[in-house]
This record gives sequence, C-alpha cells and structure tokens, in this order.
Amino acid sequence: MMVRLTIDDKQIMVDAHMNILEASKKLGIEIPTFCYQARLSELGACRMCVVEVEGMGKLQTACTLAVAEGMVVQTGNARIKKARRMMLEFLLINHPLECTVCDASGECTLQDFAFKYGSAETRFTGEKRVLRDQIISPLINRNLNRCIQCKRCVRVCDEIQGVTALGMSYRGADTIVGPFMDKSLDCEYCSHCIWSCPVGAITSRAMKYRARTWEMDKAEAICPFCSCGCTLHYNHKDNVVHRVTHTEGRGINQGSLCSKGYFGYDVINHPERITSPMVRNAEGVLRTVTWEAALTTVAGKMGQIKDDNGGSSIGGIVSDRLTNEDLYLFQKLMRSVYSTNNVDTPSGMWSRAVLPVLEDRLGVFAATNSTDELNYVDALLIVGCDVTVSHPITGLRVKHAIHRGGLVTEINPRRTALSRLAKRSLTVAVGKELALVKGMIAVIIEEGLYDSEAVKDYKKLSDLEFSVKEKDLNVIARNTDVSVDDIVQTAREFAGAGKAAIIFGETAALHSGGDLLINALIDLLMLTGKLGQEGFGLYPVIASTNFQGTVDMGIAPDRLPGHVEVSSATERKKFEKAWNAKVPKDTGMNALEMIQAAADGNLKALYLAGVNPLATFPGGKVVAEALKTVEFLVVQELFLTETASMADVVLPAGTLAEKNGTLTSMDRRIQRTQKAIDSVGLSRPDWRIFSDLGVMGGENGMKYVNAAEVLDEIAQTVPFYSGISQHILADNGLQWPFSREDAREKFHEGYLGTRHLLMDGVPLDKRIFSAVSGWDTHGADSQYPMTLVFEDLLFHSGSFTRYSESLNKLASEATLLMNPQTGIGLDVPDGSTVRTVSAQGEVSVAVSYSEDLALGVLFMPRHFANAPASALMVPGRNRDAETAVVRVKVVKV
Amino acid sequence: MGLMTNIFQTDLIKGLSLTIRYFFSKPITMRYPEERWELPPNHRGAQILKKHPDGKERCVGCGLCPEICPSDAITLITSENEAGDKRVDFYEIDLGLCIYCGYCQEVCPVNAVFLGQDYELTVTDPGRLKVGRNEMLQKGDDPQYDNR
Amino acid sequence: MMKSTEIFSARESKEMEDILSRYEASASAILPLLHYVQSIQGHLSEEALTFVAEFIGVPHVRTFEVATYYTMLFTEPVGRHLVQVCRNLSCHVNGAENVLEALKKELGVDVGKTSDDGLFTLVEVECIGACDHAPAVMIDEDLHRKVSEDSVNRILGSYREKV
Repeated sequence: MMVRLTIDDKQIMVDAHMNILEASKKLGIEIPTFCYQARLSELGACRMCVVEVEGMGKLQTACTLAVAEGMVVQTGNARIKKARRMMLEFLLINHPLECTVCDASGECTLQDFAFKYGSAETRFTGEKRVLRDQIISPLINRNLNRCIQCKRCVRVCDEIQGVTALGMSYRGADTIVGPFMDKSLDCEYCSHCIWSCPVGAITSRAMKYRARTWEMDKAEAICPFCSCGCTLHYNHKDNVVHRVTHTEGRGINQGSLCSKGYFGYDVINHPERITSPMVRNAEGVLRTVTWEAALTTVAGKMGQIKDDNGGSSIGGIVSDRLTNEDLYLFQKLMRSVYSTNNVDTPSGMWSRAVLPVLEDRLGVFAATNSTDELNYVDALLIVGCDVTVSHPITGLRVKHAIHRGGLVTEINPRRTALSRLAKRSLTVAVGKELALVKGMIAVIIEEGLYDSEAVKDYKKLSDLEFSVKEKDLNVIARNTDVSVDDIVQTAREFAGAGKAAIIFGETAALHSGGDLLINALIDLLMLTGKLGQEGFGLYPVIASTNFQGTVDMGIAPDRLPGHVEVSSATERKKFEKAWNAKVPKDTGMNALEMIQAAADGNLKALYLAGVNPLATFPGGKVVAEALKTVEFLVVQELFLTETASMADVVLPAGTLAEKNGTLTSMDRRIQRTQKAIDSVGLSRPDWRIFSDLGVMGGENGMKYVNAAEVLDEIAQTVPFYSGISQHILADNGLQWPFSREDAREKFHEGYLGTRHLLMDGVPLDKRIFSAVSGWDTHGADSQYPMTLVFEDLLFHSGSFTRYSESLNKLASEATLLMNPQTGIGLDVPDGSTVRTVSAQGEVSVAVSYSEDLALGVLFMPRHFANAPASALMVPGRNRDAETAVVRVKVVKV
Repeated sequence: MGLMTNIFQTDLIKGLSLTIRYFFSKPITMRYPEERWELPPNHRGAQILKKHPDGKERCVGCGLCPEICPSDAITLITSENEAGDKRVDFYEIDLGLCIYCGYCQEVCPVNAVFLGQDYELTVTDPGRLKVGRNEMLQKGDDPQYDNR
Repeated sequence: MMKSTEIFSARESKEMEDILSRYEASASAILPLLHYVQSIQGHLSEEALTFVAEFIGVPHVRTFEVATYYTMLFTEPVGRHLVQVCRNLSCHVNGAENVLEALKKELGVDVGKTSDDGLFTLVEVECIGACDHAPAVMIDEDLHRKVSEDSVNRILGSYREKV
C-alpha cells in the first residue's frame, strides 16, 4: 500500500512500510542518525533523527516512526536543530576529543555531525569517563571511551552474522559493549562490528594507527580467498595495502566480508615475499638473477626438453587462485609453445569428480543458480560441507534465509556454526548421506509429494522407486543414526517448499562413492521439480577462488578453453587457427599423474605456477621424490615455499592486488579485479610472465601489452565469454551465458547475464532418473576404520593464508577433532598427541575432543605445517585418490 | 671633448671618487658568517619540532601535515606501540621539496611543528636535505632556531 | 553443553524445567531462572550464566547482559547476608549517611565489599519504598525501619546469631 505524506513542504508517495527516515532519503533530505542502518532492526537509541510531526506534541524519532497517510513532517526547524545540538552535546560529554589519533577520524559519523549540526562549545566541563580495557582480541580493538551506545555492532553481530558475541552489559552511564563476561572475543571475526561502528569505538588492530582514512587510495578488487567472489576495496598508501573496505550494496557480498577477506590482506606486503627471480647455479644454490636471465633459462631449457623428449615430457600445474587471463595464457603457453596437454590445477581433482556427473545428468558444468537466490529459499539441504566456513558470504545468505523462516537441514559429519540456527542438523557419518537422501526420496514417492507435472516425461521413475524401497525407513534411520521423523520431516519440507535448493561440498562428493550421492541429489531435485527457476537448483561448493575459471579456461588435460574436448579435431582446429600454432591432440596427464610421472623419470620438466604440491598434494613422499627427480623445475610463487626452495628457477609473481584481470565466481559471475599497488619488488603479474615466456619460445601470438588484450582474445575464443571486455564489467559482474548484444548495450543498465541455468528445464534427452543402487558410499576398511575429513578453517583457506600474520593470530596450529565416544578405546586425555596413520603415511597431532562429530569421524585442518595433510592423503586416479576424506586409524603414542 | 677627457682622465677621477666615497661609508653587505640576519619573528625557515615542558614529544602523528603539504615533502609512518598508543616511527621533511608555505605549522592540531629560524640550508649532498625527526627535535630545543 | 544434573540436584533440575515450561517463549524464563540459580548458589558465576543460556537456548552474552543490568543479580560472590542501605532523599535527610558510616565501621568494609567473615555485603540502593520509616535498611528480605547509628550493632548481631 502506498501513502502520501509531506516532508518539509514536499509531497511524496511511498510504501506504507517505510519509515520517515527512508522516505526523506527518497526526497533527498538528509536526517542525521547514528543507530539506524537499513539492514538492521530499528532501535531509536541515538535520538539524532528526531523530526516534528504535525499533531504529535513531542519530537519523534524518524527511524522508528512509520509513514502514514497525510502526515506532515518537519525535519530541520529551529526546535529540531536545538534538539540535535543538545543530543550531540550529551554524546560529547564523554566522547574523548582524540580525533587527531583516532583511526575512524575522517569516516566518523560523530565527527561529521558535530561539525554539521553541533555547537562549537559545551556546557559540560567535568572529567570525561575513562573506562577500562581497550583491547578485546588480537585483531579487534575496543575503545569504550569512544562508544556512543548506538548498539549497531550488537545488532549486526546478532541479526546479520548470527553469532551474537557482543552484548550491552551493565546499566545507564556504565553501559558497555562487550563479549560474554567481558572477556576476550570469541567469534568469527567477520569484521561487521568494525564496519558498522559509526565512531572509533571498535576498530581493526591490524591497521591500528598505521594510516589515516583520507590518506589511502582505493582500488576495487575481488577477494582472493574463496569462490564467493566478493567485491572489496584495497586501501593503499605508499604502495602498501593498509586495510580492506567494502561498500554497502556493492557486489555479491552487498557490504559484508569475512575474516579472511577483511584481515588476510597482510599477505600482499608480507616481508617474506619473493622480490626477484632466482636461478639455481652450478653449486646448487638459488641465486638472484635478472628477469632476462631467468626467462632465458626457462625458455632455453623448456625448448631443449621439448626438442629432445617431446612436449609430453613437459607438464604444468597452475593455481586456481589466478585470474582468467593468467589461466588462459598458462594453458596457451603449455599447449601452443611447449606442445603439451599436461595442464592441470589442484582443484581439478574436485571438478573431475563433480562436473562429469552434472554434465551427464543436467548438461551443465557449474552451479545452476546464483548464490544470492539463497537469501529467499524456503527449504535448503546442505550436504557434506560447512558453507559458513568454506564460503562465509554464501553462509550469510543461508543465515538470511533462516532469519526469514527458511527451513534449513544440514547433513554433515559434524555440527557447524549453522547448526544452532538451522531447523535441523543431522550428524551423519561420511558415506551414509546417500542412505538419508534415498530415504527422503522414498518418503516423497510414498506420500506422493513429488511434482507429478515435472516428472511426467521422465524415464525410469519406477526404477527410482524400486531402488529406494529396497530398505525400510526404520533400517535407514538406524543405520544413519537419524530419527525416522527427521527424515520424513526433511523430505516433506523440501518437497513442499516454494523455493528449495541443495548445497553440497567436498566431504560429500570427493570420496570413492561421491558420484552416487550427487546423482541421488539430482534425482531428488528432478523428482520435486526444483530446477530451472529462481531459488531452486544445485550448488557444488569448493573454496578455490577461481575454480570455475580453471574449468572455463581449459585448465585440464582433456579440455580446451570453453570446456571443449581436446580430442575433438574441429575444436582443436579452431584454436590452432586462433593461436596460429599446433595444439597437441592427445589427452594429457592430470596433476597427480604428472607427479607420478616425474617421480618415475618420465616427466622431464614441471612448471608450477602458484601451487605447493609438497603441502597440498597426496603422498608427501612421492611428491618430494618427483620434485627431486624432475630434470627441470620452475616454480612461480609469492613466497619461497617448501616447493619453491627445491626449484631450478623461481619466478616472483604478484598477488591479486597487483594486477588487473577477471575472476569467475562459483555462480558463473565474471568479475573485474583491479590493480591496487605496483608489483612488490621485481615481481611481475603471472600473465606477463607467461606472455614473455611465450614470446621467447618463438610464439609471437603470445605478445600482450596488458591483461585487457588477453581478455579480448578470450572473448574471441571462448564461446560463452564472447563479447566480454573490461569495459563491460566496469559496473557489475556478468553471469555466463549472456547475450553478447545485451552485454554490450545494457551493461550500464544493470544487465547481469543469466541468473540461473536450465530455464527451459532439463534437456529432453537427460530426463532420466539415475536410480542409484547402494546405500553406503564410503565402505568400511578393517585396517583403517576411521574416517578423517580435511576441513577448511574459517580463518584459513589454503597454504596462501598461512602467510597472513593476522589470521595466524586467530589459528595457527592443527588439532585432530574427535568425538569422545570414538576415543574411548584409545584412552588418551584431551590435548595429548596421537599418531594418525593412513595407507600413505602418518602425522602426529594433538587430539581435541568434541561432541559435535559423528562417531568414527575425525576432523583436521589441512593448512598447517605441524600436521601436513599431504602426508596422509592417498594418491590414486581421480576418485580413488583420498584427498578430502581419508581412511585412517589412530594410535596412542 | 674626447681629447680633454683623455688628457685629464675625468672618468677615472669620477670613478675613483665614487670608490673612495664608498670606502669610507657604512657597508651594506654583511660579514657572513661572522654576522647574521636579524630575522623577523615570523620568518619561515626549516621546520622544528617542539616538546612539552616535561620533555614528551608534542607530535601525535595525526597525519595532517603530510596531507596538507602542497609539495608532498613530508613522510610520516606510524604504528601501535606496546602500550597500545600511537607511535611515530618515522618523520621526515624533504627541504628540497619544501616551499616554506607554513601550512604544516598552520594545520598542526597540537602545535608540534613550526617553521623555525634556520635559513642556512645549503648542502653539497642533496640527501642531506631530508631532515629527520631527531634533528628537528634538537632544533626545537635550540633557542637559536626557535623564536617562540 | 553441561547437563543440569551435573551441577544441580534432581529436585533443582526439576524446578528449573518447571520454570522453563511456564513460558511460551523460552527466552522469557531468563530472569526467573537467574533468580532461582542465584538463590541456590548465592551469585551468578560464569558457569551458571553459561548454563542458563544453554538451558534456554539463547546466546551466552544474553544472560550476561541481564545479570549485569539488574542490581539484584550478582556476578561476583556476595556475603551470606546482603545489607542494602537506601540513599534516596527521605532516608538521606533522616541520617542515612550516618547509618552507612556506622555500618561501614561495624563491618569494616567499604560500599560494595564483603566483610572478612564472609557474612555481610554492604551495598547502597535507591528507594526501597520505606520513606515513611526513613532511614531504612534492608537485609536480605527483611526491612529495618528507622535505623539509627546505635541500632546498627543490634540489627547485625541478630543475623550473626542466626549462623
């Protein structure tokens, strides 16, 4: 309903739900406020936004007063001005006048309003209150003297982040903002409180007193830490990034960031960055050399190996953190200059496990829907991942859905931060998720809850029915340790919801029978008709920043850019024409095969760009052997990692803050990231190094002046990136597939591309249920009876974040999490060291008991040097490799 | 006419008389460095940093002077000290860039930086034109450079 | 999460379940539960606040907020008896200040502190509704009217005897 009201003699029609503050904003009238924020609940605490409403005697707070028909409002008459002036005078009784050193100075609302609405004098001359401790955590600084009790931080922590770590304690003039018992802060370090504080009461310790707000220039970039694709601004001064900010309403994150995005920036200007190229000399020592010398060495040696042993003896593994331009040039260098299809990326293991299933069943090779659609789902299944940890901003979408009353069911081997908020959290051992999903399908068929219209032309419905009826629901419940009621309710909620979606992660998909589970999840979506519309769909989530980019840019031994098969002669011809070079026709080796081949002496040269296989690849010994045996090892890195220190040539590369380019988020959104600072030391952006090497290898088609030129070439050669340019991406990201014409003409009108795939439904030839047989996807192993799940931490997402000093303050060591019931036979006290043994190797690590875990399941972070995950991971071909879920036994020391 | 001048050397006499006159008059030039200028009180010379009477530095590292400096002559690096307060790690003014406009003195909220009386800024090594914090603090203590 | 039976007796656990069941929204039980736990334990320790928060399913900081807001809830240990001296107008003009001084001297502690024997904690409070009998002192649940410097000793003595 719309109502008409008058504000400052101007008439306006607005929605009846609106408050006066927002209505005034529409008219361009500024009403000052401290405590109001559009996405938080109204409080009316600061009394700054008082207005005069005709017929109401007292002044009213504009933020809490809803508009009404015929209302006449004054926002700036003498009475109001006086009230505001007095409010400011009250606030400044205790607010210290230390703007000269306060980090918020320049962005402080109180400073601005005192200047604009306040009086230059005060009638209160007594002592200011001086409160106790100022520091509540290693990264968040609290200065209670500056606090104006607007409660923004408390509300944002509760309403947006769902953590509720902060509260208002004590009373009256003694009121303070603080955590439980006023001890140190134990939270997700999402930075929302810092961002929401209108004064300098809560600030970041990471940048405390290092730069003033006005000194820093801002460059808009994409966060390098996960595939959410959040937009952030690097704030830099004198070529040093001092902080990260974000803008309300901008980008996928809409003004939110997580701990990694907000605090992880200190990796960029880390003192240990490699600043110049190095070549191993005759004595076997890495020596600093010029770029010319280093590149000549690489080009010469690569050329020689290619001439002597053929291109197939050269391999390259590239990081999935790099931009699309970097990735495209890397595979072009490998394919057209070094004549090899041995191209892969660490997340290839994941994409090869998941994407073939999606392609086979749905004809897509990405998440079907956009992450922001999760805001409004009515039911959601989260299977085998902790989305609040691996993708914190996507996690916020889920929290938002819960806040709105969405029914979220979590099926995971451990309880997560979401468990407290979610409708239901089912703790299920790894491998038993399939049984649960099949149980749900059984309920849906039994009770006729499926979408009969949608399944009309599907084949094999009876097979599906037969496959799920094999076991009784009671048996399923007993086997999975979940109540029948939970299974039935989850099934009913999912089938009955207007909008329902499924998120699944590594734990669910990256083990031997993971494909069965994915198939069952797709069956569930097909059966309930939850595909092809807003709020529906399937989201495979992996943390690697640009994993979708690696898929799209052909970083795979069997795929060319555009996800086309290497084996197809017509596709190869297309690229040969575009590149003016030959593209080898044989499928290459994947990353694990390359390592094995190097260890066997069959691979002569290995180019590692931004990957650290010694820390992250399965089979620690094989990797070390491979790196030692391989004749020529080039490592392009930010830091002198374990791997880099074994290299023959080390090339210093740049972080995302030092280059222009594009990244593709997990929901297919191509976004532009901009250079903030000049390259640190002599380092160069990755694409430039690849380009230079290409030219030195005699390929003039590899010559590029800037990253935009590379993107132009991608726009020519990759069909679903056709027409893309830096210019088009200036305002918004673009989700592929998009119409070339619309992108060109409507990019400034907010054209976003395709929000969700399968708009015309599942392709006709794919309307078949898979009706998977089997109930347990992760069979027991008598020798290694327990299941170790490697997890991401909220504060660490890979070996890259190990270099962030801020994040290391939050977590820097691995412990082995275990249910006390699991540990009964083991008889070791909490905190003592145990040996964890897998078929591959073992690590010794301290055990920590937690009842949040399923029986027989262990959790360990994979990023820390004290417990190298690679020592436990079992190598193998694709699905046989145990990289995310490993069978282990635990031995008392 | 020319002959007469040649014979009597009148030009020479004129010139010599001027010389002799100035020889006995009061000299205008100064015997530098034995003699120095008496500077006006608001002379804008090289910057000095002042301390509080208790010897504590006045400068709090607010960053306003590098911000306002029109020729970008001031470099300031700050961080957090052990007590959690702001600490000035590095403060330097490049007198080669400085145009002695006095904005830094004008903007300083704690009256720490002033343009002092030091005008002898000639150096042989341009690197010496960069004046650090300690040198400016010393000058601040020295009444020779401070007229306040 | 701690189970109620780990800290409380079966009867106390049952009582708390009863309190919780009286309220439709479990968060509403926060005050009665805090009062009840304080009546058992004397004050609200960190463990008690954690327990109550988890018992009714609210974030921990909520119980801390409530416990620090109200003067009748204590987050620090208090003596066996709570001596509350009114400091409002009526009592003040009738000599509450002298009574307070006498109490301080008698107990040997400052306002807000507990006597060495652990029996009494002395606090100042705002009006306790006994203006007609000012100056008033409230010890635990008992109201003592028209207290004078001389009667302080006798009143405290009666509590000392009870022990």
